[in-house]
Amino acid sequence: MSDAATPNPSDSSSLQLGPPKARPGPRGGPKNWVTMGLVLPGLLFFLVMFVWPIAQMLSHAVYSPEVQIALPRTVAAMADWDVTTPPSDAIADALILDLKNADRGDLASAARRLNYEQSGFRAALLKTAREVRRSDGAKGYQALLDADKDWADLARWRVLRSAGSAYTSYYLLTALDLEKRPDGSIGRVPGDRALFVTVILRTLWLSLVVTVICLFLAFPVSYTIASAKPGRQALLMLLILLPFWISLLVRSSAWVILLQDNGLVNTALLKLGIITEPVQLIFNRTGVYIGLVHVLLPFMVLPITNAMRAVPKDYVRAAFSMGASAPRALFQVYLPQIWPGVAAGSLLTFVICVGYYVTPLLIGGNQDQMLSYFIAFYTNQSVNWGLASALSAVLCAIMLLLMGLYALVPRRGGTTAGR
Amino acid sequence: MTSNIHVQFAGVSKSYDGRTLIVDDLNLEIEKGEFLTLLGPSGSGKSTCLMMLAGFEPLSGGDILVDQVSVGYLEPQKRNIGMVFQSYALFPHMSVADNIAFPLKARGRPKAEIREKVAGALGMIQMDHMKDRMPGQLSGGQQQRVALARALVFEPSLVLMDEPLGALDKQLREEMQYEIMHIQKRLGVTVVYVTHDQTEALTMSDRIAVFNGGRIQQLARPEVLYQNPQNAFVASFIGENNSVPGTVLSLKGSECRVRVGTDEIMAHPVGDIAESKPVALSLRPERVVLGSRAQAADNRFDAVVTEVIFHGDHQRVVLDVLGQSGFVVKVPNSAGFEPPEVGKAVSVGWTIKDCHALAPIGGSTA
Repeated sequence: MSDAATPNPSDSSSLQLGPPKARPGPRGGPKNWVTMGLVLPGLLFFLVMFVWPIAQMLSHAVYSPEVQIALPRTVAAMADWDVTTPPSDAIADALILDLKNADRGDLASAARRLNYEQSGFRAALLKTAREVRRSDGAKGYQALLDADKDWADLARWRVLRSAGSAYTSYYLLTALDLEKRPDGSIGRVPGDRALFVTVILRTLWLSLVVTVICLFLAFPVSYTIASAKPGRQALLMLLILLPFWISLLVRSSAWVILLQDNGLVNTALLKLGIITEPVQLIFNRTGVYIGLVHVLLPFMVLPITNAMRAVPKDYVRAAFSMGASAPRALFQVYLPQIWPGVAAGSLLTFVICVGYYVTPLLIGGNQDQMLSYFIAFYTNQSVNWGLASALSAVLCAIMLLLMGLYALVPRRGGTTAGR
Repeated sequence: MTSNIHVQFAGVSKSYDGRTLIVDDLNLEIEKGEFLTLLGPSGSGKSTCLMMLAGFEPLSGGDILVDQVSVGYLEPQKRNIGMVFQSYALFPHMSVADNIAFPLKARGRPKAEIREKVAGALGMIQMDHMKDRMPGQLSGGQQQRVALARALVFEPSLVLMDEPLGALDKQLREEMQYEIMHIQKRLGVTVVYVTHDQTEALTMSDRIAVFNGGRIQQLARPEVLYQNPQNAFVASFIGENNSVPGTVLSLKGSECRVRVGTDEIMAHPVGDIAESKPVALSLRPERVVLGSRAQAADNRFDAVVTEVIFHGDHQRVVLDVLGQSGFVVKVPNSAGFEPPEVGKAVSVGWTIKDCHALAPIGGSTA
C-alpha cells in the first residue's frame, strides 16, 4: 500500500537531524600519564638508539682531543707561546717528557691527527719519540732538533699548538674546502686539494635532477592510479610497492645486467639498428640517473597519489563550467589542491637521494659518487672519523635547511566545502 | 513562438558499458526562463542528464541543443552554462571574492568590471562582509550562497543545479529554496535543477520531469503531477499514496470498473489501461473520507481501524480495507469531527475522479 521506500511529506520531519553532538572535551589528569607511559618506550628507544649515536658521531666533527690526551704537558706549556719565535726549552722539555710517557695507542692517534694538517708530521713525531726514549738525558730544544731537524720549522709547532685544543674547526673547514691560514684567516684551499665542494654540489645537482625526473614521471602515474576504480587502484598500488620487497642491492645490480655494453638494452638497440655500437649506459651519470629514479620513484608517487585522491572531481568540473581553459583549471585549481603532496613527495625524494650510497656505488663511475660515498670512505677505509663526521654534519645542515624551507611553504587550502 | 525553447534534448541516450542504458532516448524541451526540475530516485538518470548538458559526460546518442545550436559535443568550458554542485566545489585555496571572480577572470574581463560584478554578486547573496573569508570558514548555507553567486556572476542564461541543497538542514534548505526561486525569477535565467526531494521539486519548479529507469515518466507542472499522475511510479514517488492492485473489468470513457479481490471499484483510467489487464489504483490519503461523509461517495467500503496517529493539523488513520492492511487516510482536524477508534469498523469512501487507475510499476504498458 503506502510505499514506504519513497519519501513522503509527512515523514520529511525525520530528515531534520540536528548537528552531531560535540564530543566530550579533551581528557585531562590521569589519562595523560597513561598516554605518557605508552609513548615513553618509543621515546627512550628513539633517544638511545637514534639521537645519542648520531650526536656522538657528529661531535667528532669538532671534538678532537687526541693531541691533548697524548701530549698534555706540551699543550699546557704552549699556551703562552708567542708563535713567532722558536719555542723555549721548557716547551721542548714538556714535549720530550710527553713523548716518553705517552701510551703508544694515544700517540699514534695524535700523530695521525697531526698528519692531516701537515703531511710528514706523523713520521717525524714517531721518529722523535723513538729517539727521545732511547737517550735518557735528552733535554731542551736542541735535543728535538737532533732527533729531527724539521723541528726548526715554526709551522710545525703552530700545527701542534692549534691541534692541542680539544675542539677544532679543521674538519668542518676541510669538508667545505677551506683552511685556516697561518695568519689565522680562513680561505679556500688550492684547487688541487679542493674536493668536497664539488662533491656537495654534485650531490645536490644529482638529487635535484633525479627529483625533477621523478616528479614528471610520477604525475601521470599518480593521476592514473588516483582516477582508477578502487579495485584497480589497489592493484596499481601493489605494483608501485612491489620493488620495496626486493633487496635494494638486487635491484641496483639488475641494472648492471640490463645496461652494460653487451647487456639487454644495448643488444636490443643494436639488433634494431638504432645504434651501431654499444652506448655507455652504466658506470656513468646516465646509469646513476636511471638507477636512482628507479629506486626513488615510489617515494614521489605515493604522496602525490594520495593528494590527488583527496581532490574531488567537482573542482575541475566547476572550473570548466565557469569557462576556465585546461591550463587555467590545471594551474589555478588542480595543482594548488595537490601542492602539499607534490611538496612532500619532492622533499622526500630529494632528501633520500642526497643521502643515497648503494646505487651510485654499484652503477656509477668515479665522477658520479655522492657525499655519502666519501663519508663511508672516511669512516671505513681511511678511518678519519673527524672528516667523516664533518661531512655528515654538512649533509645534515643541508637537510635541515631544506626542511626549514619546506616548513615555510604556505599550507594552502584547508578543509574542503562538501563531502 | 519559434525561439522560446532554450534547451532541447533530442533523442539523447547514455550508456557506460554499451549495454545498459542509463538514459534512454530522452526528448525534452526547456523553455526560456523556466525552472525545470529533474526529479527521480538515485540511479534514475537525472544527474547523468544534467552532466551531459553541462558537458561532463559524453553523449552515447542524440544531441543537445541550446538556443537551437548543437552543444552536445562541445567542451564544457565553451558552453557558457553556470553550474552549482552538490558539494559546492568552492575552491578551498581561494577567498570568497576570488571564487566569485574566477569565471570572470577565466573570460579575461577587465579588472574594473570584475571588481564591480563581484561586488554586485556579493550584494545579491548579502555576503559583502565575508568576501575575504576562505570557504572552509563558512557555514553550509553561506557556502551554498557563494556557489550560487559564482554560477551566476558571469551572467549565463542557463544555470544547472545538482542537488544544491542536499547538504543543508531542513530549515536552511527551505530558506534557500525561496532565495534561489526569487533570484531565478529576478534574473530571468533558465534553471535546470536536479533533486530527489519531491517536496523541494514541488515547491520550486515551474515544471517537473519525473525520471525513472532512464526515462521521463511524466513532465508536468507540480500541481498536475500531484493531482493527475500518469502512472503508478509517479503516483507513488510524488506525495503519499495508497496503491491498490487490481484488474480492469470494463473500460468506457473516463470511467472503468476494477476488480480488487472480491470487490469492484469505479476508477478514473489514466494512460495505457486495457480490459482484463492489471492496474494499480492510486488514492491520495487526503482524498479519502470516513464515516458519515463516506455515505455520498462513489466508492464505499467497510474498513477496520488499526491505528490512529495525531499529527497536529490532521490525524493519520490506518485501516484494513479491501483485503489489505496499511491503507492510510488523512483526516483534517476540522471542527466537530470525531476520529474513529482503533478496532472499530468504519465506512470509507472516495469519488471516481480521485481514484486513478494507472499502469502498474514495472508492468507491461501494453
